[in-house]
Amino acid sequence: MQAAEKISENHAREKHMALADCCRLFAACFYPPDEKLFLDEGLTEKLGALLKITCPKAALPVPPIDPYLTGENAVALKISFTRLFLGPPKVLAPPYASYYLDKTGGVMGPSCVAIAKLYNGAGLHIDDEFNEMPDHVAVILEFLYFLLFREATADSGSEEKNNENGSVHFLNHFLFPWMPEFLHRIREADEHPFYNGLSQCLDTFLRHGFSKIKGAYR
Amino acid sequence: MKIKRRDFLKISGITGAALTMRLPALNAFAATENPGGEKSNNPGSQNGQWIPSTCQSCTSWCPIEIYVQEGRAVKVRGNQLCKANNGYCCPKGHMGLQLVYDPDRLKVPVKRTNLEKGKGIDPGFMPISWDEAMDTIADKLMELRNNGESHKMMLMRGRYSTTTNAIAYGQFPAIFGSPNNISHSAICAEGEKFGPYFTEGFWGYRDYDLVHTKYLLIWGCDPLSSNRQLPNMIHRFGHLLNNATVATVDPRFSTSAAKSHHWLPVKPGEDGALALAMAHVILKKGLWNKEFVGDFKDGVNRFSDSDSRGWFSSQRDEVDEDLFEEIHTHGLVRWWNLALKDKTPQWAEEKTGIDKELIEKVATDMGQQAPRVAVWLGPGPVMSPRGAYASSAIHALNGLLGSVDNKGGTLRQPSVPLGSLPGSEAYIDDIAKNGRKNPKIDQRGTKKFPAMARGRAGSGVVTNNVPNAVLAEDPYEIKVAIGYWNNFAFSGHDTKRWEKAFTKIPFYVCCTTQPSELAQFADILLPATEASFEQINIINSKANTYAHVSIQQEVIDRLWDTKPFETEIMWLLAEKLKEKGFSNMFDYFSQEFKDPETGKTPTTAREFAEINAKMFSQPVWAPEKPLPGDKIDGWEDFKKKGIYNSEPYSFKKLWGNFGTVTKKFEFYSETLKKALADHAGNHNTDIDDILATTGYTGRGELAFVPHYEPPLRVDDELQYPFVFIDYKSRLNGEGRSQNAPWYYEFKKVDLGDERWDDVIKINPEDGQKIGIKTGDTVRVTSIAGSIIVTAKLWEGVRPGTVTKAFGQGHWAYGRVAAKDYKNAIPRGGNNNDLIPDVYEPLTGSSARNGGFFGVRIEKA
Repeated sequence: MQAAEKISENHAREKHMALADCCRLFAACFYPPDEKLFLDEGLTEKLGALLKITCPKAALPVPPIDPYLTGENAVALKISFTRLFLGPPKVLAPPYASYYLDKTGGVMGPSCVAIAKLYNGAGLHIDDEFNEMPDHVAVILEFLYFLLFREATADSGSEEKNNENGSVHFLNHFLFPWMPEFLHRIREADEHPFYNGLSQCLDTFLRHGFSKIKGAYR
Repeated sequence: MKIKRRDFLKISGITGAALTMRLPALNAFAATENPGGEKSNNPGSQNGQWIPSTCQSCTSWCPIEIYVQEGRAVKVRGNQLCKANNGYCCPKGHMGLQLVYDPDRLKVPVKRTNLEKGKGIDPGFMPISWDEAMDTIADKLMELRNNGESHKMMLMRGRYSTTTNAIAYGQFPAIFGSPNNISHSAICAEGEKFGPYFTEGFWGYRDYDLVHTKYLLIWGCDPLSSNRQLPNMIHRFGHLLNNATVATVDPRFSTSAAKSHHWLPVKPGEDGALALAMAHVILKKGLWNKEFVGDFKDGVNRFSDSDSRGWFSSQRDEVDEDLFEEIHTHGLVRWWNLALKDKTPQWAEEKTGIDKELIEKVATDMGQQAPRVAVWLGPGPVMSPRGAYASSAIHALNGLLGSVDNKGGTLRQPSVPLGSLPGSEAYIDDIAKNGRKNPKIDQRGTKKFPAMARGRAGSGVVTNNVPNAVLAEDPYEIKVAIGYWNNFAFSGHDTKRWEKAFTKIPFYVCCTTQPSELAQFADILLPATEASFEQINIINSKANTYAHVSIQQEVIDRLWDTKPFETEIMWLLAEKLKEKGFSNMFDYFSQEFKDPETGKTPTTAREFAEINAKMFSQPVWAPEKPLPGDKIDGWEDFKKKGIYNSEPYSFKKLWGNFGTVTKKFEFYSETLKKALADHAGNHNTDIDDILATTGYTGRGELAFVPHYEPPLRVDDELQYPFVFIDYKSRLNGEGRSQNAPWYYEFKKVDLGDERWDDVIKINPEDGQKIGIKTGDTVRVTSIAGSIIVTAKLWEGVRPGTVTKAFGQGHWAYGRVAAKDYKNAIPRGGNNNDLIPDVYEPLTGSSARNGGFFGVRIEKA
């Protein structure tokens, strides 16, 4: 391989990895807020920096979480998290893919099983201590991270490298069809500026961060 | 759900070729050793399998099987080995799928952040760990014990497991030191047990031999929709219609009434009159069962409409008791003389609104089929202010007809062996003993509440009086309340009292599956497992002349961070109390509970739950001597089969040995006489005073026989002209199924009801009078409160009465159940908002039927 090609490939790998990291940090945003961890690690600061590389349009609305992680603000953030994604009261924005894809009114629909099969096929299973559905948005985004990571680190010419169907297929079938409605529900609930901003940011990221994909993110 | 790896938030930060050396930073995932294979939390077999469990959506407690495919529960059916339900389950069982996969289920423990409590006030819940939840609860409990106020803790039970109930409801308050383990039973059907107990000494729900019945009289219930053995009744009903006569007494045109040969739309509250008239006919025509009851010594029937001169007279002569020789009964002639001789069909026609010819026909036909007759008593006629004597009068028909404990008749159940809890005496300290000496909070046993469960004054619960007592702090203040699997702010009558009481209680812990109304008042909410799908337990029940022991097990992985209250949460609480210096409960659990197979004691909450299940069920899968029912080959075989069936019922074993004072079936109840005398003695008064205090009109010897009590009315009939009839939807999971969309999709299965609506049914004649038509939105108002629902003109209720199914009207509970959860706006109306706070005091039951209140209806 020529040096220029090598540099170019490494650059592409780095960008692909940054894209993967964005997904991982977006996933973290859908966990119950952990004040110390989020502050220590500068969650949204890192996310903003990565988005500048991967999707500058999304970097603009990235909401800083730090002001909401102390004192009364931290309580307010957790209450909003509860209302939006956990309940009670009723969950304003159910964070489950199959809730939107299967439209049964419940969770753990056939899509959830299909998603879990993909995990299994990729050599992963849900950690026994992780008490949420396989199609929870945080898990979905983590798996997207995993797929992008695997593609970014694959040897040239390897199956993962040549066949990006992993992330493309997953995005097209298990993110794009439901994320717009889910994110819209967050904004519509208007519970908290952080989650409003997160919703806007992730929406933009999915819309523009994967612009090469001929998918159907509407 | 938490981020447990800090590197999950790190940027990869490696460039170039070094990237290929990295491993992904995962949090929710773990690597599978065998990709594509099966692993916990991941898709199981595509072929699926039926796994046995037990449904507890109603009181039938049906053994079921759940089809699990790729890790998901997708179908439900009755356990194919079950002899009680014949391998079927009812619609409630199927609806369990929508309950377990409800997105609004409580998922993790949460705590309240808004100190202000009340209906429509956002509690501001935020998630906490199980450790924090248990720590907070233990602190509150220890504060009570340290202050010598352990009795100020109240544990409130709703639905429960028949075995682990003994841990949470029995041992926890006992070891902790509170007398206040309060059950829901008195809002359920305690009145039903009064008649069977004070006639034959059985405080429980009956079984029926429907295969051999030649005449089934369904009274005040709709066993095709609810009432304790649904699948069996649904399965048998066709057979009954072909081989027997079926009649239904119900003021409402119920599903059972619609399919019966005869419908007797009795006026609410006049059931006792109808039963007494039927007894009168049976005796007058000499149709009582001679084998059971006996006969006049000379064979000449003296139960007559004529007097000694042979003239028809309303002043009939009394019959000489010495002329009659009873066999397995007691006091028949005295009953006739005191309460039956003038209770003719003609007399009853005026009271009940039922044609005297029909009364005579039903009684006569039943008498001709005796003893293959079952009078199926439900809660309708007895959960009313003066329902106790109606309960006795209706059940006494079974005694007259000799159908008690008899082929084709009304039964108890075969015995099934069950284990029991280890003794806890050594773990109950002086603080607990002192705490337990306090009276219970519900005021049972006070003069106005005899609450005579099993004939013992003050032994029954007065559930619906709890909020009154809490608000009045009489007999004392409740400082900590813990409730599980109940929702009294929805299921208790005059619901606003419950809301006020739980606003007042300083610290309330609520364990529930869905976010119930009562959950809105909680300081800490604990997420419960769905019993049929996510926990291990042992249940026993009966139907179809068989009893059984069945298992509940984790047929799917728990969806969220939920736990069963009666076992695992009790263990976690015991651990926390030990940390804070009170180890008795933990010592009891960890030292006395032993795996029957290995002798191992539990070390974790899950082990505790499983060991408990094994201990209770061991007698059926490892019996000391061969059992007469199913043969089970060990614990694994029991889990696989899910059930032990008893041998079939043996008839007539009780004859001559009923659990009454006389050992006979008591028409004249010496058992009741003793119970009333005990209660009167406790209050230094006489029985007549007790009857007056409890609102009964009978005096003297009438108190001891089933007799006529006129319906009590607590409001102004002119202001509230329509008597309200409450009934249960066949889709109700005891009020827990209303966040399931199927509830509304299929609501038309309740006669007269509409999909996605909550309709009050009004006789068309009445509708015309008040200018209401089908589809009108109406406000329905009683002295207790008002609701807004849709009117429907319907011929299935008699003029002057209206009816609506209980079930809807949730202002919380989830996205479907409530019209607007955030603003506490209900979907439909809750009947319990209308039903006033009135009691049948001899049992402590809450009155909900019997014509004691009315409503007015106006366009809204």
